[in-house]
Amino acid sequence: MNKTRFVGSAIDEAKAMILDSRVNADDFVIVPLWAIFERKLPEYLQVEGSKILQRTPTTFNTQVYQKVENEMEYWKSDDVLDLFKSIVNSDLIGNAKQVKKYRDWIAHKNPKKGRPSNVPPQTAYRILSDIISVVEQHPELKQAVTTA
Amino acid sequence: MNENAAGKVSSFVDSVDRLFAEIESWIASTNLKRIQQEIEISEEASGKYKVNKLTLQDEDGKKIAEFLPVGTFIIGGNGRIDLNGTIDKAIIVNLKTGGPSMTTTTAVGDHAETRTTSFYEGINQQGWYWIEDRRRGKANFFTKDLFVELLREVSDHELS
Repeated sequence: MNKTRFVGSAIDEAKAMILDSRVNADDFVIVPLWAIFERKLPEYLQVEGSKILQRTPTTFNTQVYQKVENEMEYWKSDDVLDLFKSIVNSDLIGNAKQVKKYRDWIAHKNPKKGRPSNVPPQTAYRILSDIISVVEQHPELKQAVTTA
Repeated sequence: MNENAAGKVSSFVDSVDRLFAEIESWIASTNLKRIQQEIEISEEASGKYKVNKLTLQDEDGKKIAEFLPVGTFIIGGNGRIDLNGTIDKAIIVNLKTGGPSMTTTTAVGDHAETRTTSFYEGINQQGWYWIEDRRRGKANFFTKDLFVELLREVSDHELS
């Protein structure tokens, strides 16, 4: 408790701290929201990539699959999102990129740069969860999950 | 600032001023005082521009709440104002009729079906809305009753 700075503070000061943290909390919600979303998307790419091995595994297709699997974590978020444009409405993909941009601005705030398009937390949640919803319902990925 | 951005900023500033005028009419017969101050907002798409914020104080001059414009370039909306109280905050967003939506196209047999789903329910007109946290997806038009309710929530203040 001592480390929270609330202990020993006057009531008004503590109230101001609580409000300050509440005011910032909404924006910072977007950081973990994005982190969860960003970890979820590659799972579907892995499912799609594993189709390479649904044919008889050979040295070649195993190596190709391994390369994709190993390097996927280095792919840029925008590039990963673009892969889903054939499944998810491109406007929604565009919105997700804006969420990422806003998330980056929150996490690495540069006071010299104007703020990018703001994302209310509820809207960020809606955009990202709707994308996951559409992807999960896609027949190609459903099938792949069933046969994997 | 390009023309499109300038037009958007101008609409936002106007809609903020109209909202504040409404709020002032709601508190006219109460003991709350209101102070409007000009602030500067900097957004990547527009650069810097000026808009008013509205502070509400009780009869002793103690701040009860503040309506702080955040910006006009909002994903899924035309503008955002944060209602910052003494214990909590509420986000108010300016939405067009219907609000933001998502269109999905699914292959059904040999044809494609397109469906448009709104992010939020209850957006029957353009204006300022509060999106509920508890009931996800419910948008509430910013009326006097909602203003009174939110003031209670963010500042534990009963309008009298």
